Amino acid sequence: MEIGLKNITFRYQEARNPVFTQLSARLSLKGFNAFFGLSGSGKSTLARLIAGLESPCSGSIEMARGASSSRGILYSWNGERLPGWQRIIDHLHRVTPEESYGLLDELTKQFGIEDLLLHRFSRLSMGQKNRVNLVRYLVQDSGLLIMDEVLANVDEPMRHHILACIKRTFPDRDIVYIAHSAAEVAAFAARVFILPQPGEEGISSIMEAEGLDLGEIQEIDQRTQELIRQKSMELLEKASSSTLLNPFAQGQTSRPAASIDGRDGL
Amino acid sequence: MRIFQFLAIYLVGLALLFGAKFAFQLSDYLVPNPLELILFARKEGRVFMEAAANTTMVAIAGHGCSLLLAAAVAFISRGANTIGQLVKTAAYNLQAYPVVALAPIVFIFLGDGLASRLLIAAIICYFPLLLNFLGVFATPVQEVELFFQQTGRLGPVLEVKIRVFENLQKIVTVVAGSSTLAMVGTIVAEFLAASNGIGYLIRKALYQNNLNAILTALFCIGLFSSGYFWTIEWAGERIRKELSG
Repeated sequence: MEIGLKNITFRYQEARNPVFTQLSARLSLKGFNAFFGLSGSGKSTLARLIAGLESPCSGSIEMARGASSSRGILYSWNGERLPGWQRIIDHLHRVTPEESYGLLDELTKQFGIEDLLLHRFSRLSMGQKNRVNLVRYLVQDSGLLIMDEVLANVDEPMRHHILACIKRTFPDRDIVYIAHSAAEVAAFAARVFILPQPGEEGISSIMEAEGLDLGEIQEIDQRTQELIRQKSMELLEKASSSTLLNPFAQGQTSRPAASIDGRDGL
Repeated sequence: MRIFQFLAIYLVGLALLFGAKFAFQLSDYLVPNPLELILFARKEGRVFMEAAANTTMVAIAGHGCSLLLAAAVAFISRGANTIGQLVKTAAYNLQAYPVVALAPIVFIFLGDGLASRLLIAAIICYFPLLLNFLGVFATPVQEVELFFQQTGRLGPVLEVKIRVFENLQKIVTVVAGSSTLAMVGTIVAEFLAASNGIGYLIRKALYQNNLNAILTALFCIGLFSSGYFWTIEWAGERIRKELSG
């Protein structure tokens, strides 16, 4: 899915400073992508704007969906809950399209939630809640799935296993993964959209960098480990910059996301 | 538990009253002596209990009516639309009128029978319930609703179901609280014009300056009122446990 951000300005009602000011970019979100930035950089806000859950103060967001799809955007975050009056299995069966029951079974196995299905959601641990919530989103037919820290409470090995499983099971699905772990983002994402630290004026451009687009990272060689380390350092460095007045000055491995009219972001 | 709490409060009240009587040497005409009260209660207690039961039945019916009506109106007007805003403003304004100011109108049109008592009981607890239901029904529970909203599954019934479930404790508290208002409404109606119920007996006792009768009536009202209050709390807790699994 292609997303065009055109002169987006956004400020939360109670906030003094805007999150984005005249932000223009074209985000090519084919495959497994990531939004990366430090806390408060506006990753979730950008995701919610793209999903239509927030409206920009000014500017517009255009979507060019792939030929295959007129399907919508789904935004998932780690604070979500299932209705408390249903058992997990009842809820999952109710919200899963019939043709995806096989996929549901497979994912519940892979995500290690098979034994939890007869419980109520409120009885689960935070990590288990994250996994159950993500499963119900993955079995939906969506044009773009935004996963905003959906695995924040899941332990690292399981998180990596789940990410690899998602990439393996949905090779053609457009996904945006938002997380704070630079190494994770660097390893799994094909493309990383980096949001710098917003100054008083807010963010006006987004950087784009190539990720390593790996599958499994459980047993990787030393060279790959070193690659992940270097890539994550690069991402952190970009994300720590207070503003992107001259993004090219900070290295050649990343570039600004192309602006909506085809010119470079700045 | 509620009944024991009431009994404790009632006994403390009685002790203070009789304490004042003996301390200030008040006449038996003003405050009867305890023995006289016990004899009166033994003789007339059954009549008062029956009257209080009658009042409670009317209060429950009125409470039930206002619950259904408040839920229906809040459901229809829960959105941030013009009707919703209008209903909310009207509810705030109308609850400012004391029921004693509205009651004569009801009696003029409906007479002094059951219908008037029922309607006044319903009126007095309707607005607090409506405001509570409006607040609950109109406040999104983003954590639960977002998924259904995005996948096109969030119909009005599911939306309200989610909001009610998430606020069940709050709703039970308000419903239980408004049960005492329903009792008050029924008693006020009976006191003003009806010819039945505990309020009617209180009015008769007032005309006869009979403090024994009033104290007995207060005991019966408290007993039934706290019993009804406890029943709602118990039912609410059962429902919550049942739904939560």
